[in-house]
Amino acid sequence: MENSSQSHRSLRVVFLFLGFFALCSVGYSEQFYEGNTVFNACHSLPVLDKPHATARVVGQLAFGDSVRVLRLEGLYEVPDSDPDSKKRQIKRNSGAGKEDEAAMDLNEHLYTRVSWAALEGNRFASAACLVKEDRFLKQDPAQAEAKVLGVFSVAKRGFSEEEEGDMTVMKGAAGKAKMGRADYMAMDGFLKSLSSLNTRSGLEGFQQQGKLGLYKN
Amino acid sequence: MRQLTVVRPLRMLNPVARILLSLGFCIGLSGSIQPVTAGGLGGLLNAIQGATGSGSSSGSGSGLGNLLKKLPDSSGSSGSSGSSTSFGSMLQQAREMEENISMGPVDQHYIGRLSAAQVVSGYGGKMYSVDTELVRYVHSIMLTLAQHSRIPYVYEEFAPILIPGDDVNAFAVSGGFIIVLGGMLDLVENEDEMAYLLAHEIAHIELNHGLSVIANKKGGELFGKLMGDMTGGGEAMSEWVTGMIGSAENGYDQDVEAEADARGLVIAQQAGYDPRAALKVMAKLKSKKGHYGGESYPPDRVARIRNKLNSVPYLGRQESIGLRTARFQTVWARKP
Repeated sequence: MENSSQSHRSLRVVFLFLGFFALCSVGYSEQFYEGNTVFNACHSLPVLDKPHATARVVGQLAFGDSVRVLRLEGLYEVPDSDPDSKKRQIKRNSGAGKEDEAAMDLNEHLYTRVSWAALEGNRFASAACLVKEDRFLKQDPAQAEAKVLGVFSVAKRGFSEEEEGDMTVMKGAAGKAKMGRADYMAMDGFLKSLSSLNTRSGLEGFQQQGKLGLYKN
Repeated sequence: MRQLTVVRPLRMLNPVARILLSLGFCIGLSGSIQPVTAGGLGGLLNAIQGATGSGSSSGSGSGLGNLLKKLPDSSGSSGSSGSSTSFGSMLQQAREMEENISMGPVDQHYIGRLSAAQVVSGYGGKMYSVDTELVRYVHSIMLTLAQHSRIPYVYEEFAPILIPGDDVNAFAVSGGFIIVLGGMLDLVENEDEMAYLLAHEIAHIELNHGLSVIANKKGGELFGKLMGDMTGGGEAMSEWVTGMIGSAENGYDQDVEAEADARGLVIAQQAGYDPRAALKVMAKLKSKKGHYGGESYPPDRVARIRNKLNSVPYLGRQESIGLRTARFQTVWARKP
């Protein structure tokens, strides 16, 4: 009975840790590994012949397309401001000032991310859009829009009960109030027009003229 | 930036949140679903396996979300005594946390899109149209910079939200939206300066500052409210989003802005721009506003940039800056 109780207490601590790490399981890019199947959660994603956005486009992933990760490219460490950074791990783990010991117990997988996924056929896709299945299942545009609209519809309560719907007040750097009704449709129209603006060849011409990107030297 | 004023009492939080808060954990909304390895957290998982009698686990390669799902709901039911909360219940709550506040490119886009729309509305609903040469030009600079960042793509499109007026500011919200106010457009005098400005903002997006900093800044207070929101109406989320806009607009904090400065220099350099343009932007900011961005920015901002520039030299040719300046002046001369 005593052993069971001790086990129970240990489990509780373990679950608390799990809860904590689960809470940190949100963010922009997702960590994945060799052999994982990942999904494109962007509208579309170019597949390239090298791990760089200026490389030749050899394919395109549509929203929801899945690919298998053969290799990881462009490993980097998250910045100190990230909850998973080395600095924050040490701070979290050091307890009574034992930073040296905490530094030795760092989990590299927590503080590193990758920029590119190497796919079959020596092709590459940006990790910025790739997520694992669990997260992809939550990437529903209609649901995301409804959720965020719901968030903004309650924002009014924090500012003025008299305002309706998406009317909000913001205080800018100078502290003066700014208010107005957000026009989401206009923003959508703007984005749609933008997406048709810059063709890849047009952007390359811009860079060539300005001695940028591949033409910088 | 409005301060959070409604604090949910600690006792109203769910048990996991209550205990985590009492332990003083730093809760961030950044990061990703993490792997479990043989050491560290893996060791804890091994302990779970031993205690629950579950089968062997492969360890790495499996997200925590998956692991949580694989663990039995009833893990705490057997042999438990004297506990007000079952392990199953706690586990379920941990799962719900992960389920409810997980974000990916789509969520980021919709938060950014609505944040941008809110900002535009705050400035009278005015923004430069896609039909203007100005927007097309700035968009090309943004895309060039993004190609040389770690986030060359977002869910939909990197978007320059250029707002006419006299206010001097530029800031980013999630999803690739960068807002530049008219006073800032008037401040910069060549393409490389404009590029540094945008590179700094792209760095904020790349480094995930919009999501993580607000949560870190508000700490347990906001986290507690988020926990309370899991089944509620989303008030804490609304405050968080509003806070994200406000923080972006007013600057995050000194360390974070220093990170964006440093990373912005590298992005600009890799794209082919002259990172030394950052110093000119700083001098103009000081001249126009009397400071280098305000109290959310490092007081030694210029010294830090100058120091970083020692390892981030300009990679292009001097005459190329002139080429870019010439086209900048053409576009700016036609600016509506």
